[in-house]
Amino acid sequence: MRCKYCNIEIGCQSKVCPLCHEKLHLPAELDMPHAYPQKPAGKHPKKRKLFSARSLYLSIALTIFILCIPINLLTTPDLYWFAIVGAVGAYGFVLLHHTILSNNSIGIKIVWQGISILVVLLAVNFLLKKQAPELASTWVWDYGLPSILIIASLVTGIYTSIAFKFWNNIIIDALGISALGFIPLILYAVKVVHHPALSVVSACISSVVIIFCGILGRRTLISEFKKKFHF
Amino acid sequence: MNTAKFRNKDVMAKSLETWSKLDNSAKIYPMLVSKKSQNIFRLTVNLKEKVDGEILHNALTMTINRFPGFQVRLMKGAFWYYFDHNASKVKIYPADATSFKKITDRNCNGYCFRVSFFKNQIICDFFHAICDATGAAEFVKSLVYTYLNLTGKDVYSDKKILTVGSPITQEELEDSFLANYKKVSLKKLKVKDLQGKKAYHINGILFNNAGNGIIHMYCDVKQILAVCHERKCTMTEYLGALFMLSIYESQIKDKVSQANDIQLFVPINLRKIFPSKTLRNFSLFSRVGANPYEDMSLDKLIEIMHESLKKDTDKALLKDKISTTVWAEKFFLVRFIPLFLKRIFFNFSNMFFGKTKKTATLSNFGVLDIPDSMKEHIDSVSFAISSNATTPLSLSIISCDDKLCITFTRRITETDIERTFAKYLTDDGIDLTVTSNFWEVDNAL
Repeated sequence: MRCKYCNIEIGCQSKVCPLCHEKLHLPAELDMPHAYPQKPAGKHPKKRKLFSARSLYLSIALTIFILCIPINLLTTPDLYWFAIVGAVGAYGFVLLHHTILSNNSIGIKIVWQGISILVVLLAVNFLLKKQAPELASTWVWDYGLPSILIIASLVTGIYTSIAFKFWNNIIIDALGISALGFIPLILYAVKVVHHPALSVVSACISSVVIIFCGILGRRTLISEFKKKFHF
Repeated sequence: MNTAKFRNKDVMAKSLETWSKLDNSAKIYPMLVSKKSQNIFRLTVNLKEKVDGEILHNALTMTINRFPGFQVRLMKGAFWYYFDHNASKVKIYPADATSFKKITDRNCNGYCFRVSFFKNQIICDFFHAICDATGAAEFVKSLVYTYLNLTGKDVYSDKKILTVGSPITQEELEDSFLANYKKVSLKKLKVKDLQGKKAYHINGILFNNAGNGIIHMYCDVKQILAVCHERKCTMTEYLGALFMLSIYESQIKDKVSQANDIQLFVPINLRKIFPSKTLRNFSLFSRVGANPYEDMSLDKLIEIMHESLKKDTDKALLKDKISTTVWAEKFFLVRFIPLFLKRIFFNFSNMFFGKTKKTATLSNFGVLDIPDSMKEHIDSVSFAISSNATTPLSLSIISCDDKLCITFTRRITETDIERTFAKYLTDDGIDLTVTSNFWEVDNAL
C-alpha cells in the first residue's frame, strides 16, 4: 500500500497516509497490522476534564463566601462572621488539595492539616478579639495547639506501629511530628500558654512516640537518616 | 558458574542493603517532571510472532533480578532524590493508546520503567532518571533474550547479552560522571558552553490530550549508508542536517518575522569516549545550531553538523564539561538547598529559559547489537523519546540488523516536518515504510 503523494510505503493498517493524510485506495483483501493500540474512535482518549475537583470546590466555596458577605452585613453588621466562613473554606481547600487528592506521605499530610487547622483557629480568635473581646482569650495556645499536636502524634504513632512494614517511609515523619509536640511546653516557658495541662499531655505522648521509635526502630531510623539527609 | 553466582549475590546484597544516589545527569530529571511531561524514552522490539504476556511476565521477573540498578524506587530526600531498593513485584501492562504515559510510583508499582506488549511488540518505557538508552538497551536485550528462551527458541548470548546468570559487576552500577570527574579551577569551567543561546521554537497546534504522535520510518541501512558515503558524512550528520532542513523548509522559509537559530540537541554517548560499562546515565549533549538566514543547503548543514559534533566530542572538552556538571552538583550552596526549593528553581528556570534554548532533540542510538540467533526472531526495533510542549518534536534513530528505524515523536498535530523529511529521503532514493499511531486524526484505521 503506497501513498502516491509522498512516495512512501504504508506499513500499518490505515485509511489515510500518515504524512499527508490523503485518503488511500485500499484493496479490499488487504489486511495490514495495527502499529499501535487503536485510539477510541470519535474522541480523544483521556480528554482533559472540563473541570477538576479542585476547581469545582473553589468555585462553590467562593460562591458561598461571596453570598455570605451581604447576608452577614444585612443580618449581623456588628459581627463579621463571613471571615470565619472564608477561613473554613480555605481549610477545605487544603483538606482537598493537600490531603485527599495529594500523593504526599501521611506525615506531610498531617503537617498540612495541623498547620491549616491552627491557622483557622488563629483566624477565629483574631476576629473574636476584634469583634467580641469577651469571647477571645489564649484558648488557641492553651488548648487548640496542644490538641492538634496530641492528635498528630497519636495518629503518626499508631500508624507507625500498625504499618511497621513501611517503617522506613514513616519513621522520620513520626519522629519529626512528635518533636513538634514539645512546642506547647516551650510556649508555656515563654508565657504564651497559661493553662499547661494539655501541653504536658502533648509532651508526654510525644516522648512516648519518640522513645518507641528510637528503641524499636533504631536501625531503620539511622539508615533512613542517611538516605533522607544525604547531600 | 558458582563464582558468578557468588559474585552476583555479593553485588546484589550490597545493592539491596544500601540505597543509591542518582547519578549526576539523572538528578535533574525528577525535578523536571511536571503534570504533563516527564523525560521518558521507549525501546520497542517487534518480534516476528505474537507476544505471550504470561511468558513475558516470567521473563521480566527473571531479568529484573539481574539488573539491581533497575530494581529501584525513586524517593524524595531532604536535599536530593535517591533510589531505594524496590521489592515489589514487576508487572506487565497492556499497551496503552496514549504513548509515553507518565511513569509514576502508583502506576508502575514503584519502578521507573514500564514493560507492556501489543500484538508482536514488546514495549519498554524508561524514565530517564534510572538509565540512558544504552543502559536500557542492555536491559531490553536481556529481557527479549530470556523471553525467547522461555518460548523455546534456540538463542545464544554470544557474549552480547547480560544473561540472567551472568555476574553483576560494580562497574554497571557506577556513576561514571563521578569516576571521570577531575577537580578544575573556576576559570576552566565550561558553564557558557552548557548554557547555549536562544533557539527557534517549533510552532503548531498542541494536542489537547496526553500522549505523543509517533511516526516510524523504516528503511534499509545499506541504502542510507550509500547516500552518506556519497555525501561523505556519517548517518547522524546526514539525518541531522535533513532534520534541520525540514524544520527550515516547513516552518521558517516563508516566515516574515525574524526567527532564531535552529538548535538541535544531540546526545553524545560518553561510553564511546571514556572507559565505562555503566548502565546508568552517561551522556552529554551537543548543541548544533544553524542560522536560517545563512546558507541552508543540505551540504552546508552537513558541514555544520560535522563541525559541531567533531568539536563537542573532543575528549578534553567533554572532560571539562563533565567536571563542570559534577562541580555544579558538588557546589555547597546547591547541595544544601532543600529539595523542594531546588524543584521550584528548576521548574521556574525551565519554564522561562528551557523553551528558548532548544528547537528539537535528535538522538541516534546507533546499532542495537544482538546475537545472530536472536535476529531471526526479531523483525525490527524502534527507539523513541518523548516530546513536550516546549520541545514539541523529537527525532530518534536506531538500527538493528539491516533495518533502520527513524522515529518522530511530537506534541503537535501537524506532520509537515516529517513529510518534508520523508520527501528528501525518497528523493535521495531511499525506500521508506511508514507507520503511525495517528494521534492527530480520528478514524484513521
